[in-house]
Amino acid sequence: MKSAPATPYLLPPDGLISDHPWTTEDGREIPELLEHWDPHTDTLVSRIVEADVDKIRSACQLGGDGTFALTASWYSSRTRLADHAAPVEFGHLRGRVRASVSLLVPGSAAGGRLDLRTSLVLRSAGDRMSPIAPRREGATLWTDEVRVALEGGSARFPTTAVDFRELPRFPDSASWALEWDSEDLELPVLGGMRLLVNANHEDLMESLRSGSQDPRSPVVRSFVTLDVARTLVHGALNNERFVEDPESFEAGSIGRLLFELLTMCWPTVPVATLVRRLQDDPTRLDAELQAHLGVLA
Amino acid sequence: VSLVIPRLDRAKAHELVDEHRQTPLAELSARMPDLRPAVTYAELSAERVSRAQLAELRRSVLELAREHGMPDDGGPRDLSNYEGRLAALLHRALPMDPHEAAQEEVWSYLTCCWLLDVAVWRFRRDAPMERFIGHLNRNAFRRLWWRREILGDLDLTLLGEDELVNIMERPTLFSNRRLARDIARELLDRVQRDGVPDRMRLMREATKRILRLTPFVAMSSLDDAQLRLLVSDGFDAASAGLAGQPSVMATRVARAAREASPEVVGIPTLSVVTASEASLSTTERADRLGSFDELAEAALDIARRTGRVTNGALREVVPITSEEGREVFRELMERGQLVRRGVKRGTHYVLPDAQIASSDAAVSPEPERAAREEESTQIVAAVARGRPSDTALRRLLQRRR
Repeated sequence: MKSAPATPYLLPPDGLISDHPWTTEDGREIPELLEHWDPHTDTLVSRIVEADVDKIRSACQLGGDGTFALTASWYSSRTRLADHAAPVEFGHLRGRVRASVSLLVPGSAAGGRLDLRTSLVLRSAGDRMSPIAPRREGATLWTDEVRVALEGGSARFPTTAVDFRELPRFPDSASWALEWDSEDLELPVLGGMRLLVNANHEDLMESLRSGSQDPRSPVVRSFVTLDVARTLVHGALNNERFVEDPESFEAGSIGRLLFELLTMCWPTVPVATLVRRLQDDPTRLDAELQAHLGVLA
Repeated sequence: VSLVIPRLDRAKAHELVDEHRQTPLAELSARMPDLRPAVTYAELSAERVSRAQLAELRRSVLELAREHGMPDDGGPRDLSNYEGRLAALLHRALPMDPHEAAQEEVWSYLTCCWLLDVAVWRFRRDAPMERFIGHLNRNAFRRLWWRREILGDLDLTLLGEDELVNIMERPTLFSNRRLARDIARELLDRVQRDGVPDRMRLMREATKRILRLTPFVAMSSLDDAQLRLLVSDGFDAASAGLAGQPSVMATRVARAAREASPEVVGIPTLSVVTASEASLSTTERADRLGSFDELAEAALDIARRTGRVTNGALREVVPITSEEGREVFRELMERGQLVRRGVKRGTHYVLPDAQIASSDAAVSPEPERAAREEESTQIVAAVARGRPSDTALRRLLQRRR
C-alpha cells in the first residue's frame, strides 16, 4: 500500500484502509504475469477494500457527515489508454465498511504492462470541516497501485479465427486448417504460416481460447497440435532444399521452426534417417511423433 | 470488423527508408507500394487487411495530398486542414483495435511499404527517421490515427499542431479520452464564443493547470458534467492568469449527498467493555458523564482559568470521546461562547474576549505544543487552588475520582 503524494490537505494515516488482493474471475489472486492473456481476451478483476470511515473523517478533520467513494481504474503501457469502473459510493455509512470493486480490461485496448489503481476519494467534506481538510470533490485520500505484465515472452503459434463459410477452399464445417507453403521456408513464421480456426465453430473456439476452463480443452488442443506437427514434419521431410541443409535457415523463419521441431522430437536421429523412415514406414514416424507430443497423455 | 495489418521490423524499415528517401518524389511514388520485404502478423488475429484495402487507402491518401499541393515543394498547403482530414481518413480506412494500432511495426509497414512518398513530401527527405518508422508520437501517420481515436468526432481541422501536441504528448491527458476531448472541446468553444486572441498560450496554460490537479484529484471519480466543469475552471483560471488577474482554480464541492452503492456494506464492530460499563444503560452513562451543559461549563471553566481549552484538555477531566469533545466545542462556538484558533493538532478554543490577545500566537506549532503539555498541569493546579469551589469543572473532577 502506498499513500498519495504530499497533498495540500489532510490524509488519513496508514491502517485505516486495508485492501485485499485483486482476483481474477476464478477467484485466484492475480499473478505478476498473466500467462494466458491475449488481445482477444477481456480480463475481469475484482477486489475488496475495507475502511474505517469514521476514523478517516476524524483524521482528515472532515464533518461528521463527510462522504467518500472508491474508484478503480486501469492503464495499459502498450496502448497508453486508461479507463475506470463506476465509482462505489460509501454514502453516509458509519464505522468500518467493506466495498467490492470490479474492473473489466478489454484485451483489444490493453497490452504490455497493466496498472490497476484503486483510490479512496472524497465526495463531500460535510459540515464543519477544518480549513485544512480535503474539500474538492474527487480529492484523492488513498491510492494503491498493482502492476501486472500482460504479454510474456512465450511464443504462440500464429492463429487466425475466420468463418470458413467465407473461404471457398475449405468446407464450411471444417474445424481448422494449416495455411502455409512448404516450398517457401525462408518466410518468417509470423508472416508465412498460420492456423486457420473456424470462427463459426463456437465450442472449438472456446476450447482453443487462451486460459480456457473448458474440460474438453486439453483434448482438443492435443489433437490440433498433433495434426499441425504431423503436417509440418511431413512437409519438411518432403522438401529437398530443407533436407539438404536443415540448419541453414535464419532464426524466426519457417525452415528454422521445422528444424527445431525435428530436433525436439527426434534429438538423436539425423534428418536423412527420418526422410527414409517417412518413405519406408510412415506409420512408425507418426506414432513416434504422437508419443513425443503426449497426445491424450 | 477490426483489421490486422502486416508488420515490418525496424531494421527492414530503416533499410527501405535509406534506399528510397533520396529518390525523386515522382520516382518514389512509382515505386510504391514496395512489397518486397517479408512481413509478419500478430500471432493471434482476426481479419487481415487485404491488398485491395491498402491500395484503396493509398489512392485516397494521394488524392487528399494532391488537393493540398503534392508534389510541390514545401509540404502541404493549409497544414491543419490537411492533417485533420488525413486523420479522419486513416481512422476510417484502418479500423484497428488500439492494441494493433499501438504496434510500431504496423506503422512502419504502412509508411515504408505503401505511403513513403507522402511522408517524404510532408516532412522532407532529410526528416528524422522517426517520421518514417512507426514512432509513437512522430510517425507521419500513426500520430494522426491516434488523434482521431482519442479525440473522436471533434473537427481536428480546427485545432493547431501545438494545441494537439499539448494533449497527445501528455500521457495523463492522452490516456483519459473524456478529459482529452473535454479540453479540446473547451478550447474550440471559447475560440468560437470569445474569439480568443492567443489560443495557443491559453491551451498551454489551461492544460498545465489541469495537469497540476491530477495527483490530487481522481478524474475517474467525476461524472461527465463534473469533469467538464473542472476543465472549464482550468480555462477560466488560465484566461485570468494571461490577463494578469488573480487566477486560482475554483474548488468544486459536492452539492447533493449520494446514496451508498450496493457493493458497500457495514462491518459489525465488536467493542470490548468492562462488565460495569456494559451494565450501564444509555441514560445511566449519560448521567455519569453529566449533562451537556455541565460539559460545556467545564470547557468554559478551563478556558477561563488557563486562557484556552483544547479537546485533549477537556478529555483530561471528563470521560468523553474526541468526537463528543468536538460536539461540545461546536455547540459552544455556535452559542458564541468560544472561538476556534489554530489548525490540526494546534486547534484550541478561547473565550471571545481573549480573541485579540491570543491571535498572534495562534498559528505557531511549537508554542502550541508546549502550551498543550502545560495545560493539564495548569488545570489541576487551578482547581487545587479552589476557586471557585463549586464550578462544573470541580464537580466533574470529583466525580471522575
